Amino acid sequence: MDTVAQLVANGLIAGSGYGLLGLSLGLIYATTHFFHFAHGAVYTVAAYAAFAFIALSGLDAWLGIPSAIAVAALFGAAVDGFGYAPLRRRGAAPLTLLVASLGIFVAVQAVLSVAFGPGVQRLHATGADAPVALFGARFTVLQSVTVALSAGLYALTFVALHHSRSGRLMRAVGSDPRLALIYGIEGERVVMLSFAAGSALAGVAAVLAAYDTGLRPSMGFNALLVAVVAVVVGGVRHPTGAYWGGMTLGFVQQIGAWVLPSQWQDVIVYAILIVLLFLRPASFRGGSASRAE
Amino acid sequence: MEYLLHIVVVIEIFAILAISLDLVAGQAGLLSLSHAAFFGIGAYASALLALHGTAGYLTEMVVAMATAIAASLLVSSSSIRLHGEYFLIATFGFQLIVFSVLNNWTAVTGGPSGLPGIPGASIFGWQLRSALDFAAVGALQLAIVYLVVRLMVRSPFGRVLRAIRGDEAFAQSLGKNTVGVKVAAFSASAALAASAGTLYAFFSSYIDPTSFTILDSVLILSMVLIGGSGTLHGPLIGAVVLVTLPELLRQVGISGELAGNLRQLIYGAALPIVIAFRPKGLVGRSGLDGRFGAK
Repeated sequence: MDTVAQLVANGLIAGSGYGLLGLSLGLIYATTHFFHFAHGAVYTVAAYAAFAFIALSGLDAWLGIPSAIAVAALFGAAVDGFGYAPLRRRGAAPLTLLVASLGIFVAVQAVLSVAFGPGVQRLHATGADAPVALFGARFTVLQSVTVALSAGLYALTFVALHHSRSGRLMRAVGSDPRLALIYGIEGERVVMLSFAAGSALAGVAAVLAAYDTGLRPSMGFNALLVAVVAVVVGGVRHPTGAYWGGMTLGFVQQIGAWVLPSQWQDVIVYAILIVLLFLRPASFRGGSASRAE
Repeated sequence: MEYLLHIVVVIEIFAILAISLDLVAGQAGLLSLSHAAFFGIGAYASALLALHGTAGYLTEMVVAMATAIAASLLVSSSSIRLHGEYFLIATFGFQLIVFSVLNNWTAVTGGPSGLPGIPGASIFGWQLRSALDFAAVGALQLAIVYLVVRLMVRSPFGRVLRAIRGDEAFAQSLGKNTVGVKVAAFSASAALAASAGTLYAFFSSYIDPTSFTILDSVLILSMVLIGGSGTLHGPLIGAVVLVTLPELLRQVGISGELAGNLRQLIYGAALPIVIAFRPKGLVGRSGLDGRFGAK
C-alpha cells in the first residue's frame, strides 16, 4: 500500500517537473514548428540567474526567483529576436533553425561554464527539505511546491491560450501563419511572445530543479531531452498536450526506477522516445513537422 | 616534438570522425548527434578486448566496428525513416544514453573512473609505442577512411544518397531502396567512427566517459558544417581548425580549461553565423537550405 502511494507520489513529482518542461517547449513548438534546442540554454541561464541573484548577491529569494524567471523570459525572446528571426526571414527550414539553436545552446553553456565554473553549485532554501507525509507517501516541501506550481501554471497556460487575446493569437499563428497574416496578425511579435512565455515557464522549472538537485552548466541537456520527448509524446500540435506527455514520462520513469536501479532513468526516457518514434513514424514524417516554412 | 605529434594524432582522430559523419550528414542530409557515441563505443570495445584478451590492433578495430554497426542498427531501425528533425532528436537521445551507460555500467566500463592501463597494441608484430608510431598509424587510417568514403560517395551508392538529400520520394519512385541505402550509410559512418575509437583508446591508454559526450558530438557536427558538408575535405579542414584552435590559445597563455570553453563558444556561435551568411561552410558547394530544406 505504502509502496503504491510512494510510487504515485514519485510519479506525480517527476511528472510535474517534466510536464512543466514539456509545456514550456510545447508552447514555443506550437507556434514555430521547430525544435528550439537553445531552450536548454534558457533553462540553464534561469538557474544560474537565480544562483547569481540569491546565493552570490544575497537578494531575497522572493525577489531573486521572479527576477531569474524574468531573465529567462527576456533571454528566450532575445534568442528569437537576434537568433531565429533573421534566419526565418531568409526562409530557413526547421532543420536549419534547429542546427542554429544547437550552436546557441553550446555557446551559452561555454559562457556559463567560464563564468560560474564547470562544477555543481547549490541553492538552499530553509525548510525546502522538510519532510511531508501524506497517504503513506513521503516527500519534501519543495516537491509539493513543484507539484502545485506545475499544476497551477498548466491551468493558467490552458486558460490563457483559450480565453486571452494573446493566447488566441498564438494558436492562430501556430495553426496557419499565412492566414493569420491575412487577418493582420503580426506573426513575428506573436512568435516572440510565445518564446517569452515558454522561457518563463522553463525558468520556473529550472529554479525548482536548482533548489532540488543543484546546478551545473551541463544541466540543460537532460532537461532538453525531457522537454523534447514530452513534446513528441504529447503530440506536436497542442502545447498543453506536452504537459501530459511530460507527466506520462514522469510516471513511466518512476515505475521503471522501481524495477531498475535509479541511474537508468535517462535510458527509460530514451526508450520511450524510440518506441514512440518506431510505433508512429507516420506522424513524424513530413506532416506537422514540415509546416514551418 | 612529442607535443606536436600528440596534436597530430588528435587531428587524425577528429578528421576520421568528421569525414565519416560527412558520409551521412553531407551526402544524405541526415544530421546526427551520436557520432561521439559511436566513437566511444569503438574505444570501449577496443579497450575492453585489449584488457581482457590479447588481440592486436586490427582485431580490436574490427570488433569495435562490428559493435558500432550493431549499435547503429538500434538507432536506424527505429528512426532512419523519420523526417530530418526527428532523426536528429533520436540520435541526440541515443548520445545521452550511451554516455549514461558508459558512466553508470560500472561493472563493465569502470563508470566515471573509466578504463586505465590499456595495454599497448601491435600490428603484424609491430609494437606501437611512441607518439610517432601512432601518428603514422593514424595517418594511414585517415587516408584509408578518406579513400573509402570517397569511393562510396562517387559510386552509384553515393548518387542514391545525394538523391535522398534532394528528394527521397522521387528516388524511391525510381525504384531505389532509399531506406536500405540510408541504413547502410549510417552503419558505415558509425563503423568508421568506431575505428577512430580504437586509435584513441590505444593512443591514450586510458579512456573515460568524458571524451564521448554530447558536446563532442556537437563539435564533430560543427567540423562538418563549418568546414563545408558534402565535400570530405571541408570536414577535414574543420577538424584541423577546431583541434588546433585551443592549442593555439594555450600557446598564448590561456589555461587549458578556458581554451576548451573558448573553443566551444566559438564553434557554437559560428554555427548560426555560418548557416546565415555562409551556408556552404568554408569550402562547401551547396547551401544548407538547398540540402536540408523540408520541401
